[in-house]
Amino acid sequence: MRRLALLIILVPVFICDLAGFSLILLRDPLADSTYLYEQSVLRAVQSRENPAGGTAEIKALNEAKAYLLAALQSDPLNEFYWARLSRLAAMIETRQSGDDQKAHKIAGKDLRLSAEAARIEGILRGQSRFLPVAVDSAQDGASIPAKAAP
Amino acid sequence: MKYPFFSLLLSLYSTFIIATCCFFSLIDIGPVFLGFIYLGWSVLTLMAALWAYERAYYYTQGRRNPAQELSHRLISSMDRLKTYNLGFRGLKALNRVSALVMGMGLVYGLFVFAVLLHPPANDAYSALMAGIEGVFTQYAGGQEEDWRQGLQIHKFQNFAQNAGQIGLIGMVFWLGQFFLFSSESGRIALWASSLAFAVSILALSVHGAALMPSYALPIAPWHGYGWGAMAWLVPLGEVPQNLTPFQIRLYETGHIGVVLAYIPPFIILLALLRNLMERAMVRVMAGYGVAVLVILAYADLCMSADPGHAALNIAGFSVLGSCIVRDRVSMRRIYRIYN
Repeated sequence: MRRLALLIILVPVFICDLAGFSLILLRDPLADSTYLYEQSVLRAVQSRENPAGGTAEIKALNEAKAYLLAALQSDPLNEFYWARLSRLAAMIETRQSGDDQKAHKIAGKDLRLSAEAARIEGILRGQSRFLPVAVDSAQDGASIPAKAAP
Repeated sequence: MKYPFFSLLLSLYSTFIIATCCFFSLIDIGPVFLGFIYLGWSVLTLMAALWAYERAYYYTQGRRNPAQELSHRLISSMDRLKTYNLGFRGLKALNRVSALVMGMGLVYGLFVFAVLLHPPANDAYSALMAGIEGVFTQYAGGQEEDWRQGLQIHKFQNFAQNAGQIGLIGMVFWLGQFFLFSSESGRIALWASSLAFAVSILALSVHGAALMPSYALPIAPWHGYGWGAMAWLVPLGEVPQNLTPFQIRLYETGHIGVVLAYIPPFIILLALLRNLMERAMVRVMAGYGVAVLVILAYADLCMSADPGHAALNIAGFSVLGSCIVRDRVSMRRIYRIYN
């Protein structure tokens, strides 16, 4: 009977082992996506500084949007990622609207995405309303400095 | 050092309990680091349990040297008797109180796991999920199924963190008893736990605020929404902000969860009340244990939720494990040394 009593302590040991291995081995699904997102934003910033980099900038921003959506798929209740997505989509819309062909092609798709992301962010922040789209946060990876006037 | 392995276990335990409480109280622990903490504790507990079993049941005198003088053989046998006693007394920690506490902790964990697998419906949550799904369906390029998987992974991570914490509390409770049952020097474990408890109280009183919560029972299903539900319950306005751990438990695990979570401390309280009828030294320890339980209950019911609560519970249950120890009766093993 005494030997069977070992089970008493083996139960929490087993639970802790299982929890410990899960936490160590379960890879953070956000890690890759957020890194790639930040790299894309960096590329967009670099392209923007290049006078002939308009198309490359929009391409990099679209890549960043795809990575951000992937990050959100891993953590759909993260209000900060929804905020970033809202700002990024608004930014892409602004940039693309400067290009007539692209503006015609997208037909406000990114604007709708921005509004929807802002709405979900508002819900997650406990404010069930649309938030103004702003590109002003210095700590936000999606923030891109305004282009210097020629 | 007379009993090197026991001393090693005791040193590791004292270091771990203080370090763990400092980590929980003072820094923001990531999931991987938390996983290593859980693994470290489980290895330490397993080492202690297996060592005690080996001493008590599988310890042999080894090959006897017939040429050895009788005096040496006698001293050697008496030394073995002491280490045998260390292990055998340590096994008294596997008693009915421990079995009940661990068993109810397991039932609580299984209940929450069942809730996690079959979460109750909530209109506001369903509407939010529909909005998120709409975004992924329209804009994620055909990968709309992945986000639900991501949500499940986060739920599972949250469950692992909480379940590991319950397991850790069970282990420190058992180890607290184990060291005090084994040896007089086990009091070092009690001092270390008390120090960790004091650090946790201090950290919690600095970080956490005392609340006067209203305990009008919330509109929550009887089984709650599962661990981690506060991530969406608060933003959606289903529950108020700034809650106590008790209220969070009420929303996340429902009324059944609250009852199941409070049964282990209640069992410990009964054991302490039993000890209050004993001799003076045991009464002092039982009184200390009751005081610790009162502090834990106050923090749980009246202080705002903070990561420091985990440290307080871990250190508190470690102290409680030491406080319910009543007696340390040595066993005498008769060695046949003359044949």
